[in-house]
Amino acid sequence: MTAQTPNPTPQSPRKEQRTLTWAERLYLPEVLRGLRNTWRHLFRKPFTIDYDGTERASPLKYHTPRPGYRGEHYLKKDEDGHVKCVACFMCAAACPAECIHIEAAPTPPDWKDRERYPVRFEIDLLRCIYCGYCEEACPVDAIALSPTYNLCSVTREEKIYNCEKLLADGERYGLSLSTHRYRPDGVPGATPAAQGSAH
Amino acid sequence: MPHDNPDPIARVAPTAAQRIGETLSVNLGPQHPSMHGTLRLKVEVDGEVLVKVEPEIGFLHTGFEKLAEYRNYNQFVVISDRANYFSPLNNNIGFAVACEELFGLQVPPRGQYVRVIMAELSRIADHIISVGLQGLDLGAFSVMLWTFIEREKLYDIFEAVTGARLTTSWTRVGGIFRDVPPDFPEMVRAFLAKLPAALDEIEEMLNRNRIFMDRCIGIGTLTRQEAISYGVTGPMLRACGVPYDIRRARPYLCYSGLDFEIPTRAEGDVYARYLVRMAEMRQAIRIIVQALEKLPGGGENKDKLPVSVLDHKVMLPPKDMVYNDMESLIHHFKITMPGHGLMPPKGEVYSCTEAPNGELGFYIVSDGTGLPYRVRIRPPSFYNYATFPKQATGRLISDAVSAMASINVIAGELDR
Repeated sequence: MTAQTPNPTPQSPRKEQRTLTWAERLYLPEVLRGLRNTWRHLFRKPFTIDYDGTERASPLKYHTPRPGYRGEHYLKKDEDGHVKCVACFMCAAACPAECIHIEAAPTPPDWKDRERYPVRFEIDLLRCIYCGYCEEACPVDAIALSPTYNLCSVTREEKIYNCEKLLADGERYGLSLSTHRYRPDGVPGATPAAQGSAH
Repeated sequence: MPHDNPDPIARVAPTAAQRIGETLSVNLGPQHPSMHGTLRLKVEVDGEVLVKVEPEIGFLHTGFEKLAEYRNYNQFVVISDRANYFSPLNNNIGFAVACEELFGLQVPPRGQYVRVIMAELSRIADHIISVGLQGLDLGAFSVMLWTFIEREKLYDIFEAVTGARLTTSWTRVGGIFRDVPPDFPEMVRAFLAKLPAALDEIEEMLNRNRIFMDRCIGIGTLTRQEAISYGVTGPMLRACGVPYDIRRARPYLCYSGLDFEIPTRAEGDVYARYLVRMAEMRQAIRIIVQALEKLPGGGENKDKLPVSVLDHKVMLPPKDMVYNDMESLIHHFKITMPGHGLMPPKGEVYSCTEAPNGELGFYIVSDGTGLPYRVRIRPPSFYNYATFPKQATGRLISDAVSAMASINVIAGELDR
C-alpha cells in the first residue's frame, strides 16, 4: 500500500480567482484569445466520419467495430449444412429482454448427431438489447453476434428475424468460432468439430 | 452596471427592478432544451425572479427496481447500464461490487485493476460531458462539441473492451465477461497523452470567460451544512468543502493502493463545481496511469492471469471447456438455467461506490433464491437534485438553468 496523499484543506475563495483582472475587463483581448482556439479547430482534420450505412468500401465512410462487437445476431451451420442449434433454450433463458422464441421438434431421421432442432427460431430485434448473453449462454456455439451496427429498417416486421434470415446472415459473416467469450485475438482450444465447421 | 459591484455574490442578487409584484405560474420542461432529461419544474415567477420552484420527477420512470425482482443477478447488469446513461460502466461496476459483497467473492487483482481503469475512464467521460453541457447551457457551444470529441475517443476504447459503446453490460458477478484486448494499455495511454491538452483548452475557454464567470460565480450556492443535511455527494459536496469520497472513505476494489487527491473547493457554487470536476478529471488521469503501471499481466497477459473468480460455480467456464468437458458443461447449464446455480446466501447488503455524480449505492435483499428479493438503487442524482429548489428560489430564471447544468442530473437514475 502506497502512502496516500494527504488531503488538502478546502481552498478558501481567493478574490483574484473569482473577479476579472483589469486586462480581462478590456473584453476584446479575451474575445480574440477565444477566437484563436476556435480558429485552430477550424484547420484541424475533421473528427467525424461519414455515416451512410450502405457503402462499405471506403474506411472513411463508416466505423469499423473491433472484433467482439455486439451487433445483430446470426446462426451458424454445422458440417452437414444443418443449423447448429440444438434447441436447448439456454439463450432464451439467459436473455434479459426475453426476445428469443424457440419451438423445438425431434430432428428428421437423417440427422444423426442429435435429437432436437428448432423448427422456429425467432429473435425480436425490437426487444433485443444487444447484451450478448445469448452468445455467452450457447453451449454449442450456434448463435453469435455480428459486427453489424446498422440496425435500421422501414417496417417492424423486418426486425423480427427467423431461422432462415439468421442462417443467411451466418453465411455472410462466416462461421468462425465466437469471439464473444474470448479475447478478441482468439484463444485456441475449441473442439475439433467446432474448428472443422469454421468456414 | 452589475460589473461595477466588486462583490461577485452581490452582483448576481436579483434587483428590485426585476420584480413586478405579481406572480405567474410557468412550466419549465419536461420538454425544454435546458432541462437535462425529462424533468419538469413548476415555477412561480415574479417578473424574472423565481418565487417558488417545485421539481416534479417521474417522467422517465422505467421500473428498474421492480425489473430487478424478475431478473437474476447477472441479468440485472444490463439494467444498471440504463440507469445512468452518462457513465454506464460505473453503474456496472457498482452493482458488481455490491453483488460480490453479497456472495462473499474476492475478484483477482487483475480484474480489480482493469475495473478501476475503466471506472476512471468512465468518470472522465461523465465529467467532460457534464462540463461541456454546462458550457452549452451558458452559451459556450464550441466547448460542448470539443468535449464530445473526447468522449467519442473514450467510447472507442469502451467498444474495444466491452463490445458496445454505451450499453456496456461489462461486469458479471465475480468478475468481467472477457479480458481486455492486448493493446488496451496502449489505447488508454494514447488517449491520456492527448487529454490534458484538451482539458487545458476547455479551461482556457471557460475559466476566465466573462459570461461563464458571471453566470456561475455565486449561483446555486450551498453551504457545507446544507449539502450534508440534504445528503448531497460527489463533486457537488466536494465543491462545498467536504472532502468526502467513497474511494477514500470506504475503499473498494484496489483504490486503497492508489495515490490520488480529493479536489475540494470552499465556495459551493456552480463555478466551484465546475472547477472540482476539472480537477477530478486530472486526478482520474493520475489514477489510471498508476493502475496501468501496476496492472498484473500487462496488456498481453502472457501468464493468463484471471480477471474473474476461478470458481466455475459462479462465473461461466471458458467456452473450450464447455465444449470438451462434461463437468464444465454442467456448470454452464446450472449457472444459466433459472432456479439453479448462483444462489447468494440469505441476507441483505448495502454497498456504495463513487460514481461520477456521487455515492451510488445498491441495497440488495436476498431470500436465498437466484432472483433478488429487492434491489434498491441509491442514485446520487436524486439527492443532488433535491437541493435544486434551495439553489434556485429567489434567483433569476437564467440562474436556475445554470444551477441545473451544474447538478448534472441524470433522469434515468433519478426516476429509476
